[in-house]
Parts: sequence; structure tokens; C-alpha cells
Amino acid sequence: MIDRLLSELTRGRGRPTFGAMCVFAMLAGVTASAAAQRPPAANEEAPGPAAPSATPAPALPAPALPAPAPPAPAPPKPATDEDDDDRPSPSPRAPDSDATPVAPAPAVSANAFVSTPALAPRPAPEPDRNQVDDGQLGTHQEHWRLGVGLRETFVTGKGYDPFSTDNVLPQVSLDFGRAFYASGPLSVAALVVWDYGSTKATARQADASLVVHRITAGAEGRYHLVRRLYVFGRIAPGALHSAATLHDQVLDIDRESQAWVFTSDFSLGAAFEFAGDARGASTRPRGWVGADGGYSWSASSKVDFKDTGSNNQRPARLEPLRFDDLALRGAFFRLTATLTY
Amino acid sequence: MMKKHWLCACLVLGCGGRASHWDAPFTPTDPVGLDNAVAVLDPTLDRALLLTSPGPLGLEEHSLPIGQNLVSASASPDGKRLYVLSRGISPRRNPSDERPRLTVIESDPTPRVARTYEFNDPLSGLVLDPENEWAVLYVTSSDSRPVSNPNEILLVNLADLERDPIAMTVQSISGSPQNFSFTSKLSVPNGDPRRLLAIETQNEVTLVDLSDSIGDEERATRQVTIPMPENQQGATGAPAEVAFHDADGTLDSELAVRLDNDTNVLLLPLAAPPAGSDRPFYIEPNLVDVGGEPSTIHFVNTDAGTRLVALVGTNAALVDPATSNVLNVALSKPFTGITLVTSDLGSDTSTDIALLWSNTTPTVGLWDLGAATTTATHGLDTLAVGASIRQVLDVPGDTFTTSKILQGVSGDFYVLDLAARRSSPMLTNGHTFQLTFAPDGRSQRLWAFTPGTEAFASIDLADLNPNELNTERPIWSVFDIAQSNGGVGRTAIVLHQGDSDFGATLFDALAPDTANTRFYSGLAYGGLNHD
Amino acid sequence: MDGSSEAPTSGLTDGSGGSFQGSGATGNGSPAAGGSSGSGGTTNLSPSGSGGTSEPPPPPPPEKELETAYETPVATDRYVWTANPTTGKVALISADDFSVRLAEAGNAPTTVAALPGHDEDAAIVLNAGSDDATVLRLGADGVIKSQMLQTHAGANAVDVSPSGKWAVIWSNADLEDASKLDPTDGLQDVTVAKLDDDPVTTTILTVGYRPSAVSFDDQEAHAFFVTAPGMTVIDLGDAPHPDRDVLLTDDPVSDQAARDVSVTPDGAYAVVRLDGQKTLGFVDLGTGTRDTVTLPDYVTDLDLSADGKQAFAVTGGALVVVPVPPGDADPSTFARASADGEVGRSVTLSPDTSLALLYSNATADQYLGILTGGGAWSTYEARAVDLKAPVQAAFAAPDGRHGITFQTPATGSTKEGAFSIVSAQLDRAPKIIGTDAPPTALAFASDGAQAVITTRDLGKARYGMYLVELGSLEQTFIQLSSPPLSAGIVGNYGFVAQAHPEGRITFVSLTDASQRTLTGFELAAKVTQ
Repeated sequence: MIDRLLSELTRGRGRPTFGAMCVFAMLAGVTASAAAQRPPAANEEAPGPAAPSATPAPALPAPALPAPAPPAPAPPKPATDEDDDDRPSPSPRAPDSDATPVAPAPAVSANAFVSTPALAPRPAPEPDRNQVDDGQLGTHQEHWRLGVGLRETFVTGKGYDPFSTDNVLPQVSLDFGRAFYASGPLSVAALVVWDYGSTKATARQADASLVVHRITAGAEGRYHLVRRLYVFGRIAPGALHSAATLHDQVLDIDRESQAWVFTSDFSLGAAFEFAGDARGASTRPRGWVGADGGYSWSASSKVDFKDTGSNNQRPARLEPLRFDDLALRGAFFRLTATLTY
Repeated sequence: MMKKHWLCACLVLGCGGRASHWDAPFTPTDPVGLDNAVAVLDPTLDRALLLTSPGPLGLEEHSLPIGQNLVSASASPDGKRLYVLSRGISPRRNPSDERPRLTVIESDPTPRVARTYEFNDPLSGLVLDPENEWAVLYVTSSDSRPVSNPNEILLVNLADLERDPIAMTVQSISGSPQNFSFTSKLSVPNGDPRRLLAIETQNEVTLVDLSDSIGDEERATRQVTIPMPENQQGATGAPAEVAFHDADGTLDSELAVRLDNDTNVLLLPLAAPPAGSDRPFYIEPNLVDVGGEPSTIHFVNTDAGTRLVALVGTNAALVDPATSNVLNVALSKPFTGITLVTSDLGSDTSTDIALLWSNTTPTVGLWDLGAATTTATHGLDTLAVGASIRQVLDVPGDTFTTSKILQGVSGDFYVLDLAARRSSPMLTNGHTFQLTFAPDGRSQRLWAFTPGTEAFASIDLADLNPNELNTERPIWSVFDIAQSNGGVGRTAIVLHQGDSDFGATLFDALAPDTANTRFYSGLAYGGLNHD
Repeated sequence: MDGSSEAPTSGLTDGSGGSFQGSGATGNGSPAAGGSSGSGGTTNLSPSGSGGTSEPPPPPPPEKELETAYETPVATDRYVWTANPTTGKVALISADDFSVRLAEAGNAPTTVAALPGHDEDAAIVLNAGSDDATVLRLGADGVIKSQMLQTHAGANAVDVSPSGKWAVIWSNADLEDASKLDPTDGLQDVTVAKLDDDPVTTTILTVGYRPSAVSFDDQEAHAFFVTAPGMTVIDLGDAPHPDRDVLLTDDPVSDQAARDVSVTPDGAYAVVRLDGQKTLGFVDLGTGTRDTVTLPDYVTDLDLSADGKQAFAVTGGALVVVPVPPGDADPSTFARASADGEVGRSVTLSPDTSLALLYSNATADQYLGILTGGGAWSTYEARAVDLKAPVQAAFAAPDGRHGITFQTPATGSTKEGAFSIVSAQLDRAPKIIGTDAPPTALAFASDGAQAVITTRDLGKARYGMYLVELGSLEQTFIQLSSPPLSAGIVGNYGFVAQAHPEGRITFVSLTDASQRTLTGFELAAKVTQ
């Protein structure tokens, strides 16, 4: 199902549709916001002095939400220490050094679903430690990451021509990894990326399609310009699988050609944290958006169309139909939304 | 600014399209068989795909450019060349727009474009000389232009591809070229032997001297135009057929013209020109009434000398060109076709032997013209064949010179052994089969097929045993070609047609076996998909 | 059968030589001698007999002069000349090698006449569409020279003097469509061309109403036009002009249609026969004096000897030889010849008058009288032969040794026509040949050894020609593809001109009967080369 969803998002023929991009953005934004709402873990450092709550960073364009319903009156509950973790931290935190001067907190948070008017004075909760900026890179730098992105590779090799009317191979990317080494603003991350894309066209009025899977394991060197922004360079070698299909108009059957080849990406990019605690030590998820581009190299694969195997319409001793070697290499760029944790 | 540069780069990279040929459909035209290749024209891509067989059941595809807007393609009589006529871009608006052209493709040893001729005007008619020396391009009704010269022709010397075509206007009072006939070398009273081109218009015959001894300008100005006579009804005659014979010591070289709807035959002896003239010959026309509208004419050598035979109903009129006397020979059957088989039978006499056939009577005749005027039977032997004959095919090569293939009007065909005076019927299942041979006859086989079906037959001419063969897709056409590696092997290529593609099943032409084949598909991608 | 005639006192011949049989005479009747006079004199050759005074029998139906219908096309020594009105060309076909030359004439050349007596082949052709004529001369170098002559309007006939010095171009009413002729169309214009002049000169003159024949005297000093009123004599000299008109009969108005006029070669006399009359008129063309000889019976035919000194009249079924002029000769003394079994009404003579063929085509008469004599015909031999089919015309060979008749189908015959070959030799039987088409034209070889006969049936599209060997009475049939128009002899070939849009002539060798047909000989002129 995911496969089909991703395929639908990319449509296999060009760039993702606008709707797909919107859905993607919404999912990323929701995910990031939801992650940002998670309370810090119990073994985290005690929060520092209360700081004015920071204005949440603007989320990715999200569909308009209905105005929150008027809060239903609820019986006041005595404030207890155990409840501190469950409540949103109302006390302002010290602003990030790079944060803009805070404005008074809005009366109601945009993401709040329920607001409970205080019916009785409660004792001041303990400040959220994650609200306290420790000025460290912390999990800005070292974290697990899960990203989803959209990749466009520009394949100029003529072996690609039967399968696409232009030179673009769109793919959806999923990556998972971890920055496991940090030294100052530098860090190194390792990640596994899976790119999937398909394209379709006609070759002299015969339906021709190409499905490409790319799995790479890469190393990414980062440099944090600021805690929420880093640039990186990535090398991701891996394997590429291409499955070409051509409808044989003489035989009226589909013929396939598959191949595994070596591939590797060389890219430079940048990532920006748009959601997450300023506190480096915060263990709460962070939301990033990034972009990278570079060159993707893949070995050439022979395209020898054979019959589809079990087709009993094929003639005996059918000779393979050879097309130009397929070399899915070329410049590419990718937009990624990443969730780090 | 940087962002804009990146965006532009991305757009450029992404918007780059693919080669236009991937979007061009394959539009099939009749394939053309050569001696060692099969030519399939791909007009949407302005190219010819030549299929060769380098080895047993092997197939190679060669893509060669031809001109834009294909008009026609023809193989040379010896199967060595392919001539492709194209119209080019019409009207031309830019200097780079392609002109009409004739592309000459040779297939031996490897397919290549040997010469390309470009012209100023699009001509749709192409006629090839049976002796491979000349080609004629002429205007047809499909060459519609605001102003056109219907008598414009181009003579192309195929013996010397480096020579430029000869443009000329057929000398005609009225009408335009309809048919062309090349003579063999004919002796003339005043000059070297030479070939003539007889051009039939609606009401005239024009002779063009093809001799190398005259210049092209002289060739154009020295045409001889003979208007056709009026028939008995007062209507101006139209030429229907041209025959010729060389001088034989007693007679000058001569041409004969059969006329439509006329009982007369026009004799055109190449007589001596008037004293003081430097012309090679002088035409002295003479009409001879042969007693009825002839179905065909032919010069033959009889026991009484050279005669023009005209088949008229159940008679053959033997016309003495010298006296115009006509001897009517009763043939007993209304034969409509004649072909000389003297050399096929290896006869060393000075008189001819002719094969007669009819498209209305299931009989063929073997006519010994050495007894045409002396014996009671006039030297004619008849043989029942079971069907009226619409066409007689020669068997190429030197092995079966005494064999003829008779195509019946009903679809059956017969193998006629002239020496044994025996015909062997090849009964078919009611379809009208097309027959094909190897151009050089080396496979000693006859191939019979019906387009659109999957069954066809190979007949070994040695034992007349038909070998039923099948393909796995409907047949488009069948060709028997020599393998291009220079070996003695031969390959039978059976073409199949798809929506926008074509394929081929290959057989060993010398021992065809359905269990020993190879199927090639996607041949329309040849030259596009693999370097 | 041998016969002789003496100057009978009773006018009868003896039986051994044949009998005089006439519708107006009894078996023993004899012509009475009669005198003759000039214009007022009459020589009567009236029968007298033991018969009583019965009413004179009515005149026999008129004979048809068909021999002149079988005109030969124009041939000079080596060439056949044929005109094509459509193309305006005249074709010269060589009898030596059958090569064809074409000459340009005027508009619609129609009538061609050979010009004898010149060193070169020459002919004159009338152009009906342009009222002029073209003189064509073929030089030794093969070049054809032509000269156009202006003629009077409507010319359709041309006669050439024996030496070729003069050509008289005139308008023959018999060749016109009678329904289109107005009574005031006298056709009186004639053009005289002096062919010896270089260039040829022409003079347009006027003759009498509706000329019907023209002849020349031996000296070619005069041309004689037979016209309706009588005769116009043209003086041929440096300035040709009409000399005088001569009345030929006493009643020129009513006698016109029934008149048969022959002019002696010296131009001195005209001998006149009238249908339904028993008289012969002799007109001195110099003085205009008319003399009449009365014969015993109706004179049904008249012919002159080549020298013009004898007139051969058929009267009463017999041939009577009348001297020209008769002078005061007693008609009863005129030589008379006949053949038993044949009542002849027409006669055909050989050029030397040694052979006379007697026949009748006014009735279906299948008999032919063959008479051989000569000189004064004081003695002769005669026989009548049964040719099995009615005789329409008879032709005597130039050598007087044979004759050919044209015949209509016999009763009960499946043939469409017939012809017969007869020998003057008395002990040779005639040969009768049935034909699939009626015979239409004939030409003798100059030595009389062969003849060419054409047959034509347009309805059934049957056309042919016969080459006849007169000596052996053999014939060879050659089928033709087109309707024959005329036949002739040129050189050693007989030829038949045929109707074909492109022109067609068949040559047949008189020696071996081999043939050569040329068709479309005008095509050569259309060939652009």
C-alpha cells in the first residue's frame, strides 16, 4: 500500500503533484509538531529558570484548523508534582539566544485542543527542563533521524529515452540513520536511504515503463552553522535495481528487463530545524527540512527485453530485444523532511 | 540570484526531451526483397531498415537514411540495389529544406548508401531498366503542382552513379508518359548498336536514344515521336505494348506497337536515314491489320524468318515485317500470353519455342515456331493444366531453367516442366497465394504464402514436395535471401506486422523446419535502440 | 464457229457466220442499203423483209455504261499517287521498294491525274477545299517540286492531253450531288493549264452548259467539251480560248440525256448515238455539218476504233462497223458481225479492235458474244458463251486475247457476285468464278497477261482482290482488310487502294502473287524525327 501511495505521489511521470507535496508537508508538519509537544523524559536534567515561553516556530503550511472549541469547564485539579509532566508548560522559558524577542504568549495555543480556564489558583509548576536552553548542540547534532523526501534525478543518457518523455526520474526517498559522531560543530551521520521511482512513456507507440529502486548506505559529514542549521556533504553508495517493461506490439505481450547495478550519490546540502527545543539536551523530536543536490552515479545496465516468463503466447526461441544500456546517472536534488530524535 | 541560477539549471536539465523518433509511429510499407537483404521502409523516420542474415538464423539490422516523404522503393532486377524515391519538403521554405531525391542503396557486401541524387522537382514515377543500366523518373498524377511539365523526365545512368541525371522533356504533341520500355541493343543503319527507350504517352510513342556516343543535349533534341494512327472508328489510337527485335541480316531492327481497341499493329522499322542525314535511323511506320484486337504481340523467329506474332482469339497472326503479309495460324485455344522459352530449353536452333497460356482457358501451349508455317499442327502442342493462368513466373537461377510456375486465376499454381511437357498442380486451400523465389534461385525453392495467415509452404523444385510450415504470428511477407557472410547458406525471413512494429521469423531456407526457427521482434527499433 | 459476212444485198449474213438477230428484224430480214447525207441527209439501213407492215417494235431498254465506273487510280511509271483530303498530302509510293514520299498539296486534295510524257514522274491534283490545283514533279534527285495553280471554283475533274502538255480542269456534274445543283448551275467554267510553261500558266474559260466529257485531238490543238447543248471546241494555243460551239443533233434540247458522243482522235468528227434511235450522227467539228446514218435497228451502243476511222455500233443485236466519216457509203455494205445465241446490246472492244465482246446488261443476260475480227471486220469469228450469271460489264484485254466480265449472282447462287475469264481463242472454255462480294474494279497489265480485280461488300465487310493470269485463266484470291477503292498496275505490281483513315494500299506482284500492304503511309509525315 505504501508502495502504491508513494507511486501515486510521484505519479511515475514527472514531478510530484502539488497535492502530493501538500500532503507531504502536512504530514511532516503534523509529525514535527506532535513530536514537539511531547513532554521531556523523567531522567532529563531539571529545567532551568523559568523562561518566557517562546513563540513556537511557524509550522509548515498546514490546512486551516477549526477554531478551538470553547473550553468546557472542568473541575480544578490540585496541582501535583506528578502532573507536571502531563501539563503543558505554561511558564515562560528563557529565550534561545537566537530567538526573537518573545511576545506575550497568546492566550490560546494554536495547537491546543482543550484549554481549561483556571478555576482556582494553583501552585506554580516546575519549569520544563527542555525549555531551558543549555546552549548545547546536543540533540541538534546527535540524533536518530527518519526522513522522507522527494528526489529528482536528471538522466540524460539515451537509454532512458524510451521510458520517459523528459530527462527526469522522480523518486521518493526514505532515509533512516543516526549522527553518531560529533566534535564541535562537526558531526558525522550514517544513514540508509531507499529511493523509489517509476516512469512511463511510449516507445514508438508501445507502452514502456521503468521502475527504479535505489538502496544506499551513506555517510554524511555535517557542520552546524548554528544549532538549527547545518550543511552537509554526503556520499551514499549502494545498489540500484531497474525493471523495464516494454509491450511488444508484434507479439502482444509484455517483455521485461531487470538489472542490479552499483550506484552512489554524491551530494551537498543543508538542513534546517524548524521544530524542536532549543535545549540541546532536549530529547524531544525535532523537525527538519533539508535539501541536497549533487550527482548520482549508476553503472550501466543492459536492457535486454525478454518475455515475461510464463506467457504462453510467446513464440518459441524468441530473441531478446536489446535497447540502449540504461545508465541512471546524473545530477539530482532532493527535498527532505526529517524527524530527528 | 544564486537561487535563480539553480532553478534555471534544474529546468534545463529536467526539460530536456528525448529524441523525436521515440514518438514516431512505424508506418508499414511493402517490404522489398534484395539478393541478400530485405528492405523495410520506415517513412516516418525517413530511413530504410535493411535486414541481413550474417549466419544461420541470425539477423542484423541496418538503418540507412532515405529522403523525407517517401514515394516509392524498388529493387533492381538483379537484387543488388534498392532505389528509394522521396519527395523531400514541398514547398521548400528554407534553404535547408530537403529536396526530392533518389537514394541508391547497395546491400553487398554490407548495406550502405551508394549515391544520393537530388532534384529540383518532385517526380513520383520510377521505372528501372531490366538491364540495370538506366532508371527513369517521371511525373505522375500525384505530382500536383500549380504549374508542371507533364513530360518532364530524368534519366539516371545506373551504370555510372557518378554521372548526374539527365533532365529532358519528352517530345510529345499531346499527352504525358504512361509507360516505358527499354530495348536491348539494336543495330541501326547508321551508327553503333544502341539501346532505345520507348516512351508511351496517351497517343504517341517517343524514342530516346540511350547510346553513349551522343551527348545529353543531342539525346534530348534527337527524340523521335511517332503519333498513333486512327483506328477504323476514327479515334486516335493509344499504345498498349511495345515489342522489338534486332536486325537479322534481312530485316532492319524494328519495334512494334500494339494499339488499344485496334486490329492494327504499328511496325516501326529502324530504316536507313535519307542520304546526307547523320541520324542513326529513320522510322518508316507501317500498319498491319492482324484480323482482330490482339491480346499481346512478340517478335519470334520462325521457319520463315523473323515474324511478329499477334495473339488474336484462337489465332496467331504471323506478320512478315518486310511484306506486311499476315499468316493466320489456328491455335485451337484463345491464348492470351506468350513468352519465349528457347534458351530455357537449351535449343540451339535458329527458330524459337514459345510458351502460350490463357487467362480464360485451362490450357497452355508449347509452340515450336520452326514448324509454324509448314506443318498441319503449326508446331503447337497443347497441355491441359486445370486452371486458367494469370501469370507465368520464371524460376531464377540455372538449375531449373526448364521449369515455369503458372499462377492460376483461382489461386492454385502449377509447376510446368517444359522439357518433360508436364505440369504438376499445387492445389491450395482456396487462398490466393503469393509466390516468391530467391532472386538468384540458389535455394531451389518456391515459397507460397498468403498474407495474414500463419501457414505457408516451401516447395522443393527438385521433387515438388511441398513442405508445410507455420509461423506463430500472421505473415506479412516472405523473402529468401543469401546469408551475408559470403557462405552458401540462405535464410528465409518471414515478416510479421504489429501495430507500430514488425518482427520476423527466420528459417533455414535450404532446410526449412518449423522446429528450427528464431523469432525477432521489435525490429522497428532498429538503429534507435542500440548502437 | 466460223462466220463471215459479205456485203449482203439483202442485209443478211449467211448462217455459218452467225445470224443477225434483232428485235426489229426477222430471221431473214436484211438491212436495206441506204444513203446518207449531211445535215439533211439520212442513210437508212432499214430492214425489209417478207413481213408485213407491222408496228415498229419499241426500243430496247437503255444499256448501262458501267465500264467507266471502274476507274483506275493514278499511276505513273514507278509511283502510285494517292491524295488524302484530310491531311492535305499526296503520297507517292514507289513500286520498286515501297518507300513512301509525301508531298504537300492544297486544302483537301481529291482528284489526282498523272502527267505523262515528261522525263520525271509528275501528277496534278485538284484541291477541293481551296479551288486550286497542285502540280507535283518528282525529280531524279528525289526532291518533289510543287507549284500551285489557281483554278475556277468547283473544279472536280481533270483531263490531261496524251503528251502531257495540257491539262483541262473542269466541273463534272455527274460527280456532284444532283440534289444540290441548281438549274442555273451550268458548271461552265473550265481551267486550261499549259504544263509545258515554266511556271505553268492557266487560263479560265467558259464552255457550254453542264460539260460531261472532254477529249483532245491528236495534235493537241483543240480540246472538245461535250456539253448539254452540243460541243464546245477550245482552241489550245498560246492563248487558249473557246473557238466555237457545235450542235451535235437536230434537237439538242430533248436529246441531251440520251446522247452518247465520241470524238475521233484527230478531232475531225464527233459520232453521236441517241438512245431509242436507229441513227448515228456524224458531225464535222470543223464545219459543223451533221450527217446521219440510219441503221436497221436501234443503236444501243457505240464505240470508236483507236484511230477513229471506224465506229462500232451495236444495233439489232449485232455489231455494225461504220466508217468515219460514212460519206455516201451504203449502210447495207457496212460490215456486220454477231454471235449466235447472243443478242448483244453493248460492246467492248480491245484497243486494236480485234476483239469485241457483245453483251447486254439491260436485261439479265448471262450470255456473252465473243467476236474476233479486225481491220474492216469483213471476216470474223464469233461464238456466244453461257456465263451462268447475268453480265454487267465486259472488259477486253489490251492484247485482244482475253476478256473479263463482271456479273451479278445467278439465280439460285449463294455467291454475292461473279466474274468470268474468257479467251478470244474459240476453242477455250470460259472460266466462271463466283465471289463472296461483288466485283468492283479491274485493271489489266499493259501486256494483257494479268489483271487485278477487286471485290467489295460493305454490308458483310468482305473485301478481296484477285490476281488473274489470263493466259491460264487462273486466279489467286487475296483477302483485304479494308474496302477496296480502286485497282491499278504500276511496274510489275498490281495495286489496290483501300479505304483506311491512314491510307492503305496492297501491292501484289504480277509474277509470283506475293503481296505487300502499306498502311499509314502518311504516318511517316507525322513522325517527328
